[in-house]
Amino acid sequence: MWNFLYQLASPRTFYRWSGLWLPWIAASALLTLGLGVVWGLFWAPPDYQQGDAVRIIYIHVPSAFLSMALYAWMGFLAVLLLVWRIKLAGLLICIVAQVGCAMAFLALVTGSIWGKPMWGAWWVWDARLTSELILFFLYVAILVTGYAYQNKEQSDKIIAILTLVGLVDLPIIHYSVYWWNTLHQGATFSVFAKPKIHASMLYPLLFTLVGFLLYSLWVITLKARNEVLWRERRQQWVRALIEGEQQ
Amino acid sequence: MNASWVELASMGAYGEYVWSAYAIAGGILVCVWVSARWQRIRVRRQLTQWLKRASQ
Repeated sequence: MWNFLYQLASPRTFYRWSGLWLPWIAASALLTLGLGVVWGLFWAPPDYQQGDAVRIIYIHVPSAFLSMALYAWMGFLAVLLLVWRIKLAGLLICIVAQVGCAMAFLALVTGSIWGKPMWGAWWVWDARLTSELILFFLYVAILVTGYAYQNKEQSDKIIAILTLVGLVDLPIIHYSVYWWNTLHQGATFSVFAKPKIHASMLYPLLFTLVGFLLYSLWVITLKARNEVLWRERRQQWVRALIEGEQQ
Repeated sequence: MNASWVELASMGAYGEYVWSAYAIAGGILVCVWVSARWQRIRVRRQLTQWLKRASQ
């Protein structure tokens, strides 16, 4: 197992294996996302208080969850880069940040659209909203830093350190609804506790959650494969691959 | 389209909010995917040029 993971960290092996997984990840992402969205929009019941506005939950919660989960993954990759000097981890941090930034933006926008009919305001300086906004700015800072450097190995190390510093925001986002008296509701579901929503709403939510997760994996893999090819362009296998494609 | 579908699609009083949220989400997800596909084309083009220069 460890041997396989160690081999997968080699750019060439990653490129070969990811090419095999990609169609399956893409098909699973489209299937689960499509099913979850249709279920959430048309089959799931409206909420007794919020009416049909509750249907925004099926995209808001997955995007908010992914914005945090992807950042946590970046933290793990930063450790892999700084401690074990795995090149692929450095390359992945910036790519995961691109998708994470989109997810954080989506969480903020869908939350704002949901907030207007429910709270009467597009935005409030609530602890959950503000800490999520800080996460979005962290993503932007990481991306800008990544693009600012010509030397990619140097930029990978700097954004890895920046990522580790920013990790402190994750527990603040998660516990903000418990630490402060917020307008934002508490967690909808937790891994260890019984879900607070009915199964008729929980299942479509789980489908969109898995769909968003697989979608993120899909686009991250797509982007990572491109970056691997460019960074490894001096290697013989890349030359052979490109020349083979042209013939 | 029958009446029940029209009723479902109207989303009560919150149709504009729900559909706006889904349209923006769909737009962002498609844009991220398109950027990945576009990057693939760009990288292949750059690699071809780079290999051509390197072989000269």
